Amino acid sequence: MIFEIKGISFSYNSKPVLQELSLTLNAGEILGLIGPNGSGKSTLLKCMDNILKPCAGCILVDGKMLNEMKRETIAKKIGFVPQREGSRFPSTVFDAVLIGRKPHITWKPAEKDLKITTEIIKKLNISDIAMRDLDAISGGQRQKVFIARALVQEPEILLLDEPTNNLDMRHQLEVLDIVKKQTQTGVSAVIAIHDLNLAGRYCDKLVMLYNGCIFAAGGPEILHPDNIKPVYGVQASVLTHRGKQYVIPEYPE
Amino acid sequence: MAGEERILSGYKEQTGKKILFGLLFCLMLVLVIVVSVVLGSYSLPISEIWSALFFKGSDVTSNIIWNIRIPRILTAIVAGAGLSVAGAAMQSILKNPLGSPFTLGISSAAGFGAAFSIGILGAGTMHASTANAAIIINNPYLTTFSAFFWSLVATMVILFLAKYKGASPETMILTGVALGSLFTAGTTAIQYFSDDVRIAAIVFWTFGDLGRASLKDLGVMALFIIPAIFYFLVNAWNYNAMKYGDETAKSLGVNVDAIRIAGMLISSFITAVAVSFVGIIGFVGLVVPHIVRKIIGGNEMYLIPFSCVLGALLLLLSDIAARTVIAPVVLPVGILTSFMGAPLFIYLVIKGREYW
Repeated sequence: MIFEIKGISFSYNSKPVLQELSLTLNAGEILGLIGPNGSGKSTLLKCMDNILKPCAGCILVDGKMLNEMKRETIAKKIGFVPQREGSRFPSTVFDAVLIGRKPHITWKPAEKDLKITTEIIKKLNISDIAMRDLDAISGGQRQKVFIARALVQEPEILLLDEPTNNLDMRHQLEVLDIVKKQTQTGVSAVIAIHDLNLAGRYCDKLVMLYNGCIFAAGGPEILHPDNIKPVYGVQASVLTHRGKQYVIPEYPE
Repeated sequence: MAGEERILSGYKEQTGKKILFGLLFCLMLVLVIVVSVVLGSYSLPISEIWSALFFKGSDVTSNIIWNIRIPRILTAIVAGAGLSVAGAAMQSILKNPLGSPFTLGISSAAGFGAAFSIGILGAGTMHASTANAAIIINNPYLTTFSAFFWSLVATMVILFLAKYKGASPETMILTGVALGSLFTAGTTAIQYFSDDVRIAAIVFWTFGDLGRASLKDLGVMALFIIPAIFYFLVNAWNYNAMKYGDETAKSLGVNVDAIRIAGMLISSFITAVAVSFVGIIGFVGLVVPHIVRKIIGGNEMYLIPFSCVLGALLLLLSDIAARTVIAPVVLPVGILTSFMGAPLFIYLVIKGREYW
């Protein structure tokens, strides 16, 4: 699956959020979207899932226009894990994952839907909490549940909006390992992420956004003090550890 | 592999329990129907009721059974199921546990619409029949239309708030309260300028009463409510997805905005139909879906049908109580549901999030 974004722009109430942005994603790649708060990471992800519609430019999935595809067709190709999720009604973990099969369910879930759901639950190591209520589990477990939901969609592209937010170290690594493992089967992933070190470590490609434009794009080498300083307004040092780059923030400019 | 088997069997066991509870509700409904046929302000021996059911009884008994009790029971079932399913759908669509035709002001708006058609459009007159004083509406469709139109006005306000202001559940309920008192004020104003016959008709309207629907009314109600229930059943999985948030639902292929508007319109319509034939019956639509959630969990696939069954059951039970508590006086069931529903509503508010 090749995902192409060609010159998209988006504005909220005539305030431009994304400006003529272009990028390409190949099968099996992990693309990290980095940039300060309000730089357009979440908006870009939502445009990629047709939740928001860009006012200019187009998005192509294997050469087909995303905005001309039906929602259900998109749901079978693209899985999205939003940033904040709230439900005021009770739901078991199993049901919260099973709903990922929604594009395939009309009246009631088929055996196949249940089978895929149980497999993913097992794979993500959340079997023990499968029958618990969503409110009765930890933030890290909940993030895994939402990723599990996106995975049972059997998507070719995973979009994750800050999946490591509010998670402890171990869960951060676990969550990103799950994504990494998934990309080995040819699934591609786009992750909006604040933690530059995790971004540099897990992503094949990085795109640094600044005020709705691409400031820098490339491999982890774009995590360079010369890029970080103008974008984040922070003087940083970059160290290399086991061949990966790590950013140490020094002081705000 | 063993782990997967365990998860799957856990899920199936849970699903089995849900269905079992649902069947239990159905069984209880059947029992209550039987009790409801037997009990009444005019006591009849069982044997006579039995023969009347097969059209062999005396004229008096047949009349009571077929023209009074059975229409009343069926009305309770249809209205109870309709109001409950409307409440269940509104709660899921607005992601608001306090949503219901009554709390969002839609029932009051429909009641105002009915009053408007009686007081201003001249749709109804009071007519004293032999047994009970009954309201005869010359033009029931005008009343229904007016009730629907005004309930639509209330719905639009709620939908506007939900969409453009991203209103929190609390804001929506507060708006509902405001709308409710606005429409109640409107109803009172109409009463003030009406003659006593019309006042009686309007006041009667504000107490929901199951006894006023004839078999024909019942047919009209069923004609609208049954397809609506079917519509909600078809959309159960869409509502399931919407429960987790609009963005998640959209990413799962649900056309959130269209489904929300359609669902709200249909539930308002059900409310309007129910209100225009039986008057305002509060709290059923709010409380029933919560009881179902509490017992069998939040899956809409079960919540929607079992809310219908439990709604029918609850309204029928309330009606039995209304008919027998101070017999031979028959209380309007709307008074009773409000007496029972209001404390339950307060309980829900106090218990807050841990409950739903």
